[in-house]
Amino acid sequence: MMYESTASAIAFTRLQRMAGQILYVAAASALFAALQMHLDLAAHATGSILFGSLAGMYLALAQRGGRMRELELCEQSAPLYARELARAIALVPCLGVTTALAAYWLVTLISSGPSTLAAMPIFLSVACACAVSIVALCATVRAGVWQLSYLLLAAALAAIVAALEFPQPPAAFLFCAMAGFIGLRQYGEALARWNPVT
Amino acid sequence: MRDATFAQRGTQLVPPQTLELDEGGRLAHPCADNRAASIVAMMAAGLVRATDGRVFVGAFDPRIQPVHVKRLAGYVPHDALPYEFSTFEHYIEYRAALWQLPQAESVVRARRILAGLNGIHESFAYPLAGALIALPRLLVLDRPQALYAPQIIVAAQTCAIFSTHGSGDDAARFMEACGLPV
Repeated sequence: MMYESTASAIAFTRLQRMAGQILYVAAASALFAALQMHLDLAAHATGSILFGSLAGMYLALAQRGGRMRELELCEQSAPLYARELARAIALVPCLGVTTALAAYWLVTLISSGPSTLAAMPIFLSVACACAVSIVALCATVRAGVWQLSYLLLAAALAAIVAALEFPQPPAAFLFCAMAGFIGLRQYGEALARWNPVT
Repeated sequence: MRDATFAQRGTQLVPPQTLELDEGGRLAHPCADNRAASIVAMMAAGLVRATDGRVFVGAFDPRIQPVHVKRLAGYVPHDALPYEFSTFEHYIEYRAALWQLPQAESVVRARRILAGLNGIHESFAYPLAGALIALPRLLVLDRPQALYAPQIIVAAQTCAIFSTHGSGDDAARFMEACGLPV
C-alpha cells in the first residue's frame, strides 16, 4: 500500500487499528436512530448532535495510549511539525464520527422516511461532532484537572450547538467552525510540548 | 547532554545526565533503572525535552528545533513490534511516508538492511531497519540486547550509536559485545 502523504499514512494506519471501535460506534449510532424512529426532525437533530458528540469524545480519547503506543512513538520520532501531526490525528475521530452519523441518518431515512430528513441538521450534526472530537483530543495530551476541563468544554460545546440549532443555524455552524479551528491550534501546540513518557 | 534531567509532576525521573558522543562513535550509557533508560533514550532522540540542563544533537537543541534533531536521529524503542502492519513492507512504507522518503526505494533499502540483521528477532529488527532507512547520523537504542550488538554495528555502518541500559552490567555487556573497551 503506497501512501499519498504523511497525513494519509498516519490517518489510515490509525483508522485501520480503530476499525473495530468505529464499527461498534456506527452500530450503536444506528441502534440509537432506530430507537428514535417515531420522533420528529427536532428530536433527531438533537439526538444526532448529542450522540455524535459522545462518539467523537470516545474516539478522540482512544487516540492516545494503550494500543496506540507503538504508533505514537513512531509518529513522535518522525521529523514532523506538531501541527502536521495534529491535523493528521484529528482526521481519525472526525472520519469515525462521520461514519457513525452516516449510519444514524441512514437508519432514520429508512425507519422514519424522507420527510424527517433535512440537510441542515445532518451537516450540523457532523460539524458539531467533529468540533467536539477536536476539543476532546486536547484532553489526550493533558492530565488531571486540565484533562477534565477539556472534556467538560467538549461536552459544553455539544450542548451549546444543540441549543443554538433551531433558533440560529448559521450561528451554530459558525460556533462549530470556530471551536474546531481553535481546538486544532490548541492541540497542535500542546502536542509540540508533550512528552510521550508513561 | 550536560546535566540534563527530566521531571514529571514534580518528581525527578531522570537525575542529571552528562555525556558526549562524537560523530560515528559508540556509547552504551548506564542508567539507574529501566524507566530512566527509556527516558534518556527519548531525550537523545528529541522525543522528550529535558526539564533542566542542555541537550544538543549535532548543532540542534531538541527544545527549539525538534524536527531537525529527529532528522539526524533514528530511534529504536525497547519493546516495539509493528503488530498492526500485515507485512514488513507495509511497515516500511508507513515509516517512509512519515519520513517523506521514496517508499519503493525505502522498501528495497530496508530489505537489504533486514538481510544483514540475520538472527535478530523481528520485534527489534523491524524497528531497527525502519530507523536506518532514513540514513540517520545517530542511532538511539533503548535497552538493546548485547546479543544483537555485532549485527547492529554492521547495519549502522558509520552512524553513531547511543544506547541506554537499565544497569551498569547491561551497558558493559553491550560494550563488550560491540568489541569496545568497557
